[in-house]
Amino acid sequence: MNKDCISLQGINKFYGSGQARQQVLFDVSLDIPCGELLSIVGTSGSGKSTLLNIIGGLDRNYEGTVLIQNANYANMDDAQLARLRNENIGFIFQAFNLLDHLTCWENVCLPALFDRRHQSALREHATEVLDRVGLSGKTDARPSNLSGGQKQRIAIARALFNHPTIMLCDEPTGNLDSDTGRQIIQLFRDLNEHDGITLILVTHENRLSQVAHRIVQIEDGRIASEQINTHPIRLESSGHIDGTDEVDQEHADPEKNAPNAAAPITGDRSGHQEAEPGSKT
Amino acid sequence: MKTDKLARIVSQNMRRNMGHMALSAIGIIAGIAAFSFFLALGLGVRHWVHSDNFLPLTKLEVIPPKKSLEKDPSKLKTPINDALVTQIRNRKEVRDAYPKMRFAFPGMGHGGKGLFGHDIHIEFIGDGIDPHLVKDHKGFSCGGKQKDCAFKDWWAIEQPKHQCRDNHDCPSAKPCLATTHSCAQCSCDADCGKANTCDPITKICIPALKCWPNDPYIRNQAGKIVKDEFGRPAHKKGHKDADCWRISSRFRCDTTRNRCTNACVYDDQCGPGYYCDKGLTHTCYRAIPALVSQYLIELYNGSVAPGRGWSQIDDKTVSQFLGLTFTAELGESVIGGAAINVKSLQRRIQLIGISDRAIPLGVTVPIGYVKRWNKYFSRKDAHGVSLEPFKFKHYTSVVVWLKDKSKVSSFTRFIKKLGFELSDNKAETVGLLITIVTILLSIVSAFIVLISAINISHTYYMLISERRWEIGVMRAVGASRWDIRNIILGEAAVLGLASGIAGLATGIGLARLVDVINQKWVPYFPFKPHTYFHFSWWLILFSLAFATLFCVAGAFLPANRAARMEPADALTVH
Ligand SMILES: Nc1ncnc2c1ncn2[C@@H]1O[C@H](COP(=O)(O)OP(=O)(O)OP(=O)(O)O)[C@@H](O)[C@H]1O
Ligand SMILES: [Mg+2]
Repeated sequence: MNKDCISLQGINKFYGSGQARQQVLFDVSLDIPCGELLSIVGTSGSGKSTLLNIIGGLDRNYEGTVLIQNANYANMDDAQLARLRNENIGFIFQAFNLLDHLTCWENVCLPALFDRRHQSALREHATEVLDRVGLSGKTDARPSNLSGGQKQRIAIARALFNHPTIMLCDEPTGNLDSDTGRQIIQLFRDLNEHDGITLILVTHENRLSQVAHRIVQIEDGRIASEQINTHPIRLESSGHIDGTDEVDQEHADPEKNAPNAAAPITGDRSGHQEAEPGSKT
Repeated sequence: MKTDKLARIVSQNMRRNMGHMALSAIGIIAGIAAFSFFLALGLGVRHWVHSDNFLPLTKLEVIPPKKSLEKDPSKLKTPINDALVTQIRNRKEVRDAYPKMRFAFPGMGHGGKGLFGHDIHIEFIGDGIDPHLVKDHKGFSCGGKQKDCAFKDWWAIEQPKHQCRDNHDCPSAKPCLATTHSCAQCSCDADCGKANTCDPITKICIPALKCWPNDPYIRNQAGKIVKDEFGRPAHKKGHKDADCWRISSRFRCDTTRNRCTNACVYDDQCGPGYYCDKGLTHTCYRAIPALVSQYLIELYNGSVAPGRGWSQIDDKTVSQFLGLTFTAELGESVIGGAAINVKSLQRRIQLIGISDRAIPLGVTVPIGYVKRWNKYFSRKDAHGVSLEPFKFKHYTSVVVWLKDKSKVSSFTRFIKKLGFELSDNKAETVGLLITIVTILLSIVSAFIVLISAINISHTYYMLISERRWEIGVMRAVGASRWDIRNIILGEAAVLGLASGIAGLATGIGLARLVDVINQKWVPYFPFKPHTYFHFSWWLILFSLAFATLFCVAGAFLPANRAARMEPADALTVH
């Protein structure tokens, strides 16, 4: 395993002030090695998005230490942090967050507009990335005319545009039907395997979290359990979950074959999740 | 963030929020339109007022101290005399200086039958100016074909030199003879020197000229028949005086001697443009050239002509008006009651031009005439010596041309030290007034722009809360606080600039409209300007900068707020 890509040490997070002050994260510490596909699960309101925002540098009001590739957020100014987000981190949101007044390729190359490095042929590069997410031919379409799955692919293309080393995905399938959701998750898995992108996947869906190498469960702002998933499952595009080792082994990183087997996720959690499939913040 | 990328985002956002932007821009456009319109109006009118054909700033008028104006002018400690004029003229600030002199006697004018259908009688008031004051004036017209039309003291040029009014005029204490008003009568040709003759009627030396009253053709002094413009012998056409008129209209043919004489009894004996001085010298004199002011024409057009159905004087009819003559009875008054102890003089006055150098109400003639008339009408002792020499030696004022505007203050100091004053400089007063009005209107316009800026600010607050998550997205993909601020301020700047251009265009369009209306509908007046507006380059730049600055200022707080937002917060709520 590579050295830690992301290291969280004793994160406390509060919302509000005075009487309304409320703690949502309690002493969260987590080390994520480079190249890991980590899944974060938890009930609604448990603090998953909050944690992800802190990891991505979108939220700086927290206590504790965040190290990204050994760089401390506390020592970075806004411009440096923005640059880090721009060059190293890709965000995927449940709501896609595409700009409807721009075409697909313009959305995809949005990161380039905030990139100090010299770039040319933005359109060509955007088309290439769109090809990779399976959206060739949609270069000039408007996001509003696309399906949810296609929209999320565009968001993924946008996140990939600057070749990030880390991708943070906050319920990327929350607004998608399960079939499309599986395809998207599979796409993430491929990115993790082929491109070595460190990927954090926040999800409600029990089964989708099983693609990860490690599953972290958060409850009421605390890490409740951490499981190493020795046999990350593979999701076929048909939507059928294929858990066979043969198929899996081909794609799994040998390093990640940890000794303990994937522990089943508690029925309680899974039941909770079923009850609120579309819940979001 | 690179400028081209910023420009790209700004243009993307602007295209999207076109409606909002256009709406909030209306205030700025209106404000800038009003602002540029009023400022250009102020500048234009100022320009026009300060232009040399209206009220030149470099033209000043030195007058006696105001306090002493009411007192007897003879008691003036420091009169405006030739010495002062010379002193002023020698100043290094001064380009030129010429005196002016008011009529110190009453007068009555009558004439105008040709123009008004019947003669009108008015008080004849006026002043005299040095012909140099109007030397740059073009367009003098004596009407008809008269070629040598000029604003000159013809009397001094053409009348025999020893013409006199009193003993002072004559050299070596020769008496001025009351009958002929010459210093000494000649008795024979020998008294007059070579080529001159002693006129037997006037007893004045004049050029010896022959005439052939009974010959139908005009002859020159050698006796040869003169050719007309077609090469044929020039016919006298019944004018027996034509041989003499060829030399000068002030001569006529004395048929008893076949000699030209300047003596006359009535006007018809004098050539075209010349009249007989019936009261005094009984010689022909040229009509006295006179100028009137533009104000007088306006007064006539505005209040005299309309009431009586007389034709107005404008650019086209002014040529008919120039060249008209009227008779002035000097020493008499319509009002009456003037104690004049000398015979009145009848003089023919010819209006030859309209000039800003002319007295506002009255006529202006060459100063030489006024000096002589004032002297003639001054009270005299038993020996004919004037008791009021100040009347023809002291000037009313001195018109001074400075080399440039920067010399005004130093010259003013000099004049004040000498105990004189400068007449109210209308240009400065009017200019100040216009400046004040312009500033007031500009402040009003600036307020419109300011209110629009507040409106812009409000619009931006709205836009930003609407685009909150969008800003969050940009932050997530790598926009820094500065980028967000720059995007919003960039939009505001583009909006401001566009509004500024639109506002300026509206302002200029409005100004054009006013000018067109002015040209078409506002009645003519002599100094009506071609345009009332002046859109100077700095005004244009200033308007654009103003619009841009205010828009940016209006967007500043919203932009800061947007930039301060934590991206996580921006992304959660929408
Ligand atoms: N901006 C905010 N201001 C105040 N409280 C907040 C804010 N954002 C989140 N919270 C609170 O913090 C807690 C954690 O919220 P968070 O969005 O991280 O949960 P989550 O695990 O992502 O839930 P979900 O699965 O529904 O997305 C919740 O109780 C929520 O009410
Ligand atoms: Mg969430």
